[in-house]
Amino acid sequence: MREDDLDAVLRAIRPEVEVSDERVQRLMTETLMALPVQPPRVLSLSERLRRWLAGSIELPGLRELALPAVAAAAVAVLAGAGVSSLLEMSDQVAATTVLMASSTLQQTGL
Amino acid sequence: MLAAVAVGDRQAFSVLMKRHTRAMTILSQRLVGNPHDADEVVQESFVKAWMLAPNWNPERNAKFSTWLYRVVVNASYDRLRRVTHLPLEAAGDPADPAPGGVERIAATEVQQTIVAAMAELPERQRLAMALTYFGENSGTKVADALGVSISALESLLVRGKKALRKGLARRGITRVGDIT
Repeated sequence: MREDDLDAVLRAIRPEVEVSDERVQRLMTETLMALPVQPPRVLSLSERLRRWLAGSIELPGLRELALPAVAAAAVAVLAGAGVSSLLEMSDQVAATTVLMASSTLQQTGL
Repeated sequence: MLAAVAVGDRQAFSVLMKRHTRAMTILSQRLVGNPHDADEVVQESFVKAWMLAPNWNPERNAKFSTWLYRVVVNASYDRLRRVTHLPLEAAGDPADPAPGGVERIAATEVQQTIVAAMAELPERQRLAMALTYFGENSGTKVADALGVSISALESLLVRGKKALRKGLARRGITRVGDIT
């Protein structure tokens, strides 16, 4: 079958569908009534760190961690590749520190 | 709007639904073939959107409309697959005895054959094909809804139609006359 023929068939078989205002309204009403309670938002690690740095949330588990590593992770997440220059580390050391800190943060369930 | 929905604002969600319900219902009904299933697909899709809204990230995720279209199209195909496996007794009423009934049934069978073949396409091609041929929108609006350029949409459609022709050929349909 040629592409043009298929195109014509596809356009020809499209059924007309009327959706009345009443049907839209009923669907909306029923859906709104069926909405469950939303699950709490799951914040990403970077978002939690960003909020922690901004002082808008507490991360109690941080007390158990070495703060420089946490700071390194936070800066890394926020500043991306700029972490090594910010902390005056080599890229490799910065990357290792960040990885360890991120891993520890995740393990503590933050 | 999504930010409000993300924190549980039902009024904002109502506005969002008002914006999309009609288009989603038309699209789903053209795919599943009846209003009852289409309504259920649309409701399920909106409930899913509501549940996922708290974690929606506009910087990371696709456009909301793109995502919603994808959910509706995939849910419609899921519904079709389930209906296909229902026992014979659940098939519903016999042939429509009214004038034109036979022609309508034939047209429905053609449509079902093509929709079934479309179900086998890769997701992006299937979505582009469904919106273009079963939605209400122009090419520009379809491209916008999918978050792609017009040329990318055209490319998806070319590949989709090529794959669809193969799918129809596997069903023994190689000419227009085979299905019309």
